[in-house]
Amino acid sequence: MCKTLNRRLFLTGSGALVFGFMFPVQGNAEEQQQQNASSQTGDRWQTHWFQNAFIKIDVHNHVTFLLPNIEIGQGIHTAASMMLAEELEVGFASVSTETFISDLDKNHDFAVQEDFFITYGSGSTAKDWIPLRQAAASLRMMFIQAAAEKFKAVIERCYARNGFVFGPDNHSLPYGALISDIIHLNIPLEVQYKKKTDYQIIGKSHNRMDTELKITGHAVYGMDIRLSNMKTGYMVLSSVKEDQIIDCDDRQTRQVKGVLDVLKRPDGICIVADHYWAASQGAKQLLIQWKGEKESNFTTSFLDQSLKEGLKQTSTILYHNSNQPVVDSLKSLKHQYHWNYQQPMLLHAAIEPISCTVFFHDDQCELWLGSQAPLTVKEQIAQQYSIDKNKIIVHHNVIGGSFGRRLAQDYILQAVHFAKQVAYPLKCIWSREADFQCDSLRSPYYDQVRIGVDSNNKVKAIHHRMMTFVDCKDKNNPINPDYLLGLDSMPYQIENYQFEYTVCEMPCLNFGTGQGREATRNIFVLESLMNRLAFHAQQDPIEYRKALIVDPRAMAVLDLLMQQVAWGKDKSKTIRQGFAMAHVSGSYIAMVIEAELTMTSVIQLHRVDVAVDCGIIVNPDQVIAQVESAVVFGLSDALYGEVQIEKGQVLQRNYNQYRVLRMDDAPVIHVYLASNDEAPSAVGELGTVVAAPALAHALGLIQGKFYESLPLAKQIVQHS
Amino acid sequence: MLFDKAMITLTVNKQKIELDVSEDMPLLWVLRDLIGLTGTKYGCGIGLCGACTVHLNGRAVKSCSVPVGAVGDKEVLTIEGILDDPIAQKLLKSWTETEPTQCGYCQPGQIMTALALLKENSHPSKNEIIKAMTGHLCRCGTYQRIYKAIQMAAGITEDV
Repeated sequence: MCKTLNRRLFLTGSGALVFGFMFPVQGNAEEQQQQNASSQTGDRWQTHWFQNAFIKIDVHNHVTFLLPNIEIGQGIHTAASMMLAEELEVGFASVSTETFISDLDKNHDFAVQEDFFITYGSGSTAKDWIPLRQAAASLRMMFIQAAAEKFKAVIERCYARNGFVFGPDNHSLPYGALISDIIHLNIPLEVQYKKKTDYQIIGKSHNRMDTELKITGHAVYGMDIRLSNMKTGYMVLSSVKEDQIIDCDDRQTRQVKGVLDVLKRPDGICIVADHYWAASQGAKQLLIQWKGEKESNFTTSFLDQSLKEGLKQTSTILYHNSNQPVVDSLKSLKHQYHWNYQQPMLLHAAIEPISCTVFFHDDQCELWLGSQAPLTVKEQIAQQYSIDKNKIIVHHNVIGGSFGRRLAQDYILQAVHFAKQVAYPLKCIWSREADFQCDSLRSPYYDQVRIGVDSNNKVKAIHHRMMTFVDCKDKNNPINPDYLLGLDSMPYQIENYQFEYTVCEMPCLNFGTGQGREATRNIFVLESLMNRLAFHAQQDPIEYRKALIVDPRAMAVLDLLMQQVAWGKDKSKTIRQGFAMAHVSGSYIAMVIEAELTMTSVIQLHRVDVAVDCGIIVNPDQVIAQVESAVVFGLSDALYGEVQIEKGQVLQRNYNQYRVLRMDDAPVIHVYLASNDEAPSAVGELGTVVAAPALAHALGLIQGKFYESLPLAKQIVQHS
Repeated sequence: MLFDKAMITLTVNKQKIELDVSEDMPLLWVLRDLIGLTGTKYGCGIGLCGACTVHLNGRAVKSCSVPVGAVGDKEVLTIEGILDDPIAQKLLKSWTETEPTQCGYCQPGQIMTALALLKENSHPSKNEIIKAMTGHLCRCGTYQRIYKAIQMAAGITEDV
């Protein structure tokens, strides 16, 4: 039996039926997956009784699914629609899906107060698996019940298919004809789910719902917003957070044809023009001096040094799986290794630069934006500008990539602050250069690991210290449970593992969430040291790990990969295979990469084979697509990703300074999916977390070394 | 005033459009902001990412780097104008088969280059496809699906 969530059934003014229910709002995939496994859903959300997802069926049998998940390209709208269509017993093609986030959305004739949505952590399908199917199944059962009454038949002789209920004696009725009947029924407490063997939709690859719109150029991204009387704002900002302008001469800027105004705040300038080009030409004429540039001694080396200084500070133990102090374990072991790992700051570098359109009019604030948490700013806007939250209207755009960038709210608030100064809709655009310059950077990391192995070279103890920067507002409450992503769930049994961290406050830069979150850092460290331990033990890295794996699913995904890959058949001195695996957010991934490093220092990524266990798979081809995508993203960062700082400013300003893989660089990728009945778990970021350690392994074997830092490409020359 | 304007006539998607515009304004921004064709995207502004790709007399060009004054009487074709082209129809179909689309922002530009490639070379080799498409960035990393879509549209079943 599934617990009742907060659900309600109502009719709209136009006579459509709406079934409102609740999606969990946080994308903590592993937690949600654990909840799914125990058949409990939504318990922790009982303090937030609201509906944030709606199944709407009109009298013409058309189904509209309104859900709070943000589609960033990861295919979750399609997956959610598939789950809905399956349990509701409607054709997948009959479902239209929209992000529903506005409580004053005029497109639908009902309104809901909602404050908070967030899509992150590859958690959407996992968190939605039970509540969505439960809602759809409930509705299906109610349609059958209503039809049975009309047919004067017993429910057991009726069934639903393709949006119709069929009964004995060739009776049938479409759902749309039953709306006025089911509104009087009670929502069932016990739900009968469809059996997996009866699935027509789930588990079979389906086309994405948004492909046609996007490939024909008709999808409206934030950059594409066009409104009556709208002007374009070109943002001039600093990498240094809350930097101050100490001098600004805009006289030449105002002379540029098309420039209408130069809006000023202490921490930034917005050049307003009829269109982007005019504003950008105006920006070239702007003379501006920042306090941060004049005074800052922030450079990359200063930041590196600050991180390492963290070793002298007190650290906080976040995880320890033994009663014995780890230092004692280490002392008792035959061999100890001391290795340090360093990972740089990274850009998100999504292909659509940041933008946000805001219009203050009457007593309202209207926003057009793309965000992974689109309503978070409402509270701040309401307080700062004394606007009723009901008068803050958010329209959500298609997003051209995020990778965690659009979790931060900075760009939305900056646009709001400038738009408040004018009486027209203002589309604030960050140029590519400004997008890079003002990114919410993935933090740099310094990990120090002390490892102890026994006389058989089996790893027994690891003392792991991590240093990173945090936003100053998080300094007093810095515990981030994501710090353990991939570590506390590692597939290996290591008797004494202690993880502790030190956070250093770095108020001058914006730090945010990167692809793979903390797992990207953790798995680079963990898998790099595992590969190195195997080498020192003179053992095959797969066999070395197998002796430590106790998790049957981890072993199974490893076996799945090894069945497909010709492992260990190194082709030449310049072509080697590298390996990494991980258990993150409920999912398991294992990857082999074959890479070549020529004597002309050309790096060629020949082939990637990757096995994934993410539980029940809703849309197989999109799962494969997500894994491929995340692998390429991770390989880009592994080879080239690095942000450098000079005088407090991000040096990298365009893709010629921040290299990413292209078609001629990218490897062929083969993905193998495990098949089981486990609850769905995370997919979207999985490939990223194993990419760097696997590639570092391969390139290191060619060069006879083990990489301890990223990015890799620039180190080829240093270690020839 | 800086950047004086002039009257020019463009042919875009077979339609003549008269504009009073500065000749050094990039074609990209003329298309997006003055004409309202937003299918052509801004990604980098310096000809590196390919999101702004359009055709000039059938040649795929990075419109962020083409001053509108240089277009002259060349025919401009954008993503919005390809729907009745039979090769484009094959590409759009194959794009829905191999599903390279994720965020989708770079895809129109990729399709425009793929279209120019197949119009010039109906049976491109593996290296020819890669050489043609290397001017494009896809942060979602769907290159092998883009590659397969081009092969599929060209009726190629094996790498040569």
